[in-house]
Amino acid sequence: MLRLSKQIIEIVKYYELLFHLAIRELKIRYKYPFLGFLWMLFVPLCMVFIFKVVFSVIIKISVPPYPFFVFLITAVFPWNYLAMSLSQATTSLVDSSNLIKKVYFPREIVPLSILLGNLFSFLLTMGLILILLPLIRIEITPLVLFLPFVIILQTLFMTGLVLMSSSLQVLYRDVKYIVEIILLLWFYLTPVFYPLSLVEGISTKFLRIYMLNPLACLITVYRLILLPGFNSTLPEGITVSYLVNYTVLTCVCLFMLGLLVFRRYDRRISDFV
Amino acid sequence: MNIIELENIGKKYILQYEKGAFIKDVLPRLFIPKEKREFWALRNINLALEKGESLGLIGRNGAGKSTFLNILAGISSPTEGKVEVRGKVSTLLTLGAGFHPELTGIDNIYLNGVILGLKIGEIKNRIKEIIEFSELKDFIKQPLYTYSSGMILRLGFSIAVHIDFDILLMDEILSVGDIPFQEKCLKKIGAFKETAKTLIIASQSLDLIKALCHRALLLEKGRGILLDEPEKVISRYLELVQKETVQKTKESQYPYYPKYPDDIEKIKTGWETRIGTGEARILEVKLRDKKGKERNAFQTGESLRIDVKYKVEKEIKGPHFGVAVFREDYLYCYGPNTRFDGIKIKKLRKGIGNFSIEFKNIILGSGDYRLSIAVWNKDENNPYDYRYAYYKFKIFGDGKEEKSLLDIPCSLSINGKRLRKSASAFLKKIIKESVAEDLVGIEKPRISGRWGKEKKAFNPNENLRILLRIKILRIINAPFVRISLHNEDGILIQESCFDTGKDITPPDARLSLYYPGMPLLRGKYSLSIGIGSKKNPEGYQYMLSLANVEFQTNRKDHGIVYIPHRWRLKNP
Repeated sequence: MLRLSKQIIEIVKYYELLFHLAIRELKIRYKYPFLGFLWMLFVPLCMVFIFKVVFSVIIKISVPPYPFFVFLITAVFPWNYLAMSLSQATTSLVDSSNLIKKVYFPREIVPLSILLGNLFSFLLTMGLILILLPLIRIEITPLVLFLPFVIILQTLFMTGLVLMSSSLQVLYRDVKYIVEIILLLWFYLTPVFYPLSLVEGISTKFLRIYMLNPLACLITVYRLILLPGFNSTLPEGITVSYLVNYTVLTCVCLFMLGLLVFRRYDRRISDFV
Repeated sequence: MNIIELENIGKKYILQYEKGAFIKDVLPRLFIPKEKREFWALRNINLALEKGESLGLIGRNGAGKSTFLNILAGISSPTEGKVEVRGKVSTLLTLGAGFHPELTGIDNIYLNGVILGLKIGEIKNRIKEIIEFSELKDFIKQPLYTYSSGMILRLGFSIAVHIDFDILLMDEILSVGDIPFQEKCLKKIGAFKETAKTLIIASQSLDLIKALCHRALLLEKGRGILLDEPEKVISRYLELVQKETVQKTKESQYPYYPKYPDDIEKIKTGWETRIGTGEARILEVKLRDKKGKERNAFQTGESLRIDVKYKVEKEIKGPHFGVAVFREDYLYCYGPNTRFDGIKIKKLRKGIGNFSIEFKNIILGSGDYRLSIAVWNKDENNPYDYRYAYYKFKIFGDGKEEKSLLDIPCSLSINGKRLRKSASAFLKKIIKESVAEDLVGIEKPRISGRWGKEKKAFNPNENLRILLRIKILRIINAPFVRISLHNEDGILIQESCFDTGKDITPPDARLSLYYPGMPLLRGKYSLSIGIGSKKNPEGYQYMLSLANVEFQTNRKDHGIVYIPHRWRLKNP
């Protein structure tokens, strides 16, 4: 525990570097496009629009009592945040070998800066969603005050993930491909595109196993916060307190596990990148 | 308390056949014993450095210098042993870590500064200085991809030297920018040394290490071989790396070649050629030190022996042997031969023979040199074999920036008190030409022999004393004195620089500079003298061509300098 806190303190000491690297990422990404940073808002806006057209005009489906595209946008952006960060951060240590081999700083900074950059655009997107929801007549409840906490939890969760995947990638270059496969599988095992009732329809036993997936809980928590009355649509046996407790527990555990794994391989990173 | 303590440091790498690949990495692991797959880049390194003490790392490529620096920097961690570093470490291992081509110079300063451990506020305070030092001017607002590689390095260096640190680690980075910028960097680094920062420098530039470091560590195959004064370590290193470069057997046609190749154009056309009628042929040329070890790099003041083996194809009468030393810039330094030295050789019979010439004290300044070897006919108009500037060797001096041809000892006394010769290489550049201030007035010196009897013409290796009176109006704290000798072509022959360390007081100071032997052959030389101090590093006054000295001799030896030597012949 002492070592763990030392590790965290060392990372925090270099917060300026962390921010600067994240800003560098963003600056480089948006420097040349004509619209620049506006793309950060424009892309999610377009996505919402496309979902709206596809799922309310062309394929008319809904997840009662919500239109399908509303159901979708409350989950797809948190998922994208995770998927993009994880796949970008996995190779980050290997990619910045010229930095790692030349200067000392806590190596955790490298994958975390990728995460931070993505967090920034995710926050913008969530802000956009919060503006859009009233426009499409979805009421925003005081529950939304919990949104920052959920985002922090998700970020902790992802911190653990990227620390593990990026440090392992240094030693085993196969990790990148495994991560891609896991992400695909995970996507289908997470209720982004379908409601939980669909899983319940298979069997209640399966639902219980299914809900061990921390992301399933996390995504559901997002919907609980953003969609009023969503708790009434939860399948039987899945309570709000279970969802919240399980999410908190897994996020914190994975965060610590990530730090541990990273520390274990830290000494070898500069020799192998 | 020691600022750096290393105890039994070792760094092991596991050799991988191909990183992470199954067939090429995992399978060999099963069959190749562990010990063979291990590689110790460093082992059993012990070191304790005090604050302000500087260390030079010397060794061939792959000796472990960079690994050593990486461990000190915290970039990689040692496999065994204890590292204790007390103080803030800054690294100049590569310039511009984290630079991004798409960002502007200013953005990159911030980014690189943060990477090197500065806070944003600190960078803001220094950014002006950094930009000014880099001399990038308006380019600083342009993205980095518009920069030349020299500009990028300059920017990187400027950031790195504007960071507060206790320990600075440097790895072969002083090839930054053009020569004026390099000098600026050297000066900056020299200034760090004076503010009691600890420098650790890995470099192939032995002169630099000699000038900057208090101690040096010689690494070879990851082991620390010798930790001692730089001079001792360097000569051990030179012994270690002798071999190669000297020999080159390029067979060329025998073009006509003039007899006295003094003119630079002729030297250039002859460079690296071989001519001769072929009755005798040079087979092998070896350069050896005092102990008879083969080497091609020497320190000023060491002994240098040239051993030549030749073959006589046909009996020849009245031949003689000659050697010549050139500097890499085609300067003909010295060319003695057996005829000038009065050695008569009646004839050489068919067979193999040897001759050697030994310079007990090679007084040349640091630089790259070339050697010609020749076997001449009786009248010295047709060589049997003449290898022109064919063999290379190096001389390491005391780390002066400006290359003077000679590097000979001299002593300075002020008002009758003798001083030690300063080793500071940075003072030299500091006194600028053409600066004059009323505070100091350098009077025309009196040039004399050892006992002060005024003299205008000297013989080679005669004692030379220069007596100076300097008028001063105010106390000057610890002035430094620079005295240089140029020949008529403007070539710098000898330069001596002293950090007096003592104050001089009005109304005047008497300086006496004594060379116990000025090894020049013939010609007129001009003497320039400058005075500066730490407070006024630009110099109070620098007087060009203040006096003239003439050298005369009956010797016929070619070249500029005279180096005492001894021939040894073994004729067939």
